[in-house]
Amino acid sequence: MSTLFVDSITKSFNNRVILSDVFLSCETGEIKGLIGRNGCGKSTLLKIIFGVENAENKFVKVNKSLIKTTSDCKGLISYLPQHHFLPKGTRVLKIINLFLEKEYREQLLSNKFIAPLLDKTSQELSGGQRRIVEILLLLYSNSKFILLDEPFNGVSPILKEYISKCILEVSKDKGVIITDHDYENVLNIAKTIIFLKDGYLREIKERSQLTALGYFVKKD
Amino acid sequence: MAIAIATIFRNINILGVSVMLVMLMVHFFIYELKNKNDYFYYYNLGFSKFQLWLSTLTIGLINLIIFAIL
Repeated sequence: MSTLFVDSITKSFNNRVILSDVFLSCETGEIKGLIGRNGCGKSTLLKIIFGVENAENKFVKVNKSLIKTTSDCKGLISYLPQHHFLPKGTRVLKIINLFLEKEYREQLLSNKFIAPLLDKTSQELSGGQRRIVEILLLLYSNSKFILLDEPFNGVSPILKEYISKCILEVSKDKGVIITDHDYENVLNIAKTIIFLKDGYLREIKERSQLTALGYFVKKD
Repeated sequence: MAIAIATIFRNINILGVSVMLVMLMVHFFIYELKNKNDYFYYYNLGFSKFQLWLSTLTIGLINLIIFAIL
């Protein structure tokens, strides 16, 4: 079993503290759902963990390996950004061949959603098609931990269901931290829900807590 | 473009430097300005931005040496 250990993350923008001494841990076999209102720092937290965003203070490690930059993440952490990241003008088949090791590649190439797209370039794909290729690339990678920033954004219901199923399947061997405003899907697949507000993380045990914390509107 | 620069300066020896400069400019315009998010593909492969810039510079320097020898 591997553990992603995140501690002492502090980040502020223009003297406004976004993340205050944040602690988070995730083990392989676990799915953590990170939710919070717009602009609370969810994406920033994932970027800091992955090493693409600087923080005033941070400590990230996977087992005994310290993570400082993206080059330390190889085989340990993969990150799905909010916006599309497939290289422009490159065919999906080539993207997959370059990205994945042979043993994982075959599974993805025969996938029912990916197979019809192999000869297309990333620019010829719709937003939803790009998203499914990106998500499956990361899920089939050899990384122990996957950070997913809004994986359900711009995706049709049938693909949302399929993505949820895939995340649940790979989470047997990997740890997944997922954040999305489609909270229903996040609440359905995550084993643990953490809520980010005012720079602090709180573990959510019951849905009613989210109403009390101002994530849902109170119904009279 | 590199050939154009060498033609403007009427000096074939400048071709290697031109190729290197054009490569760095292309890297800058494509990855830093136009398709900034493409970096995440390479980050997920285990590269850092520093390594990617270094690889562009290295290929440019190899070109420079080849042109110097020729």
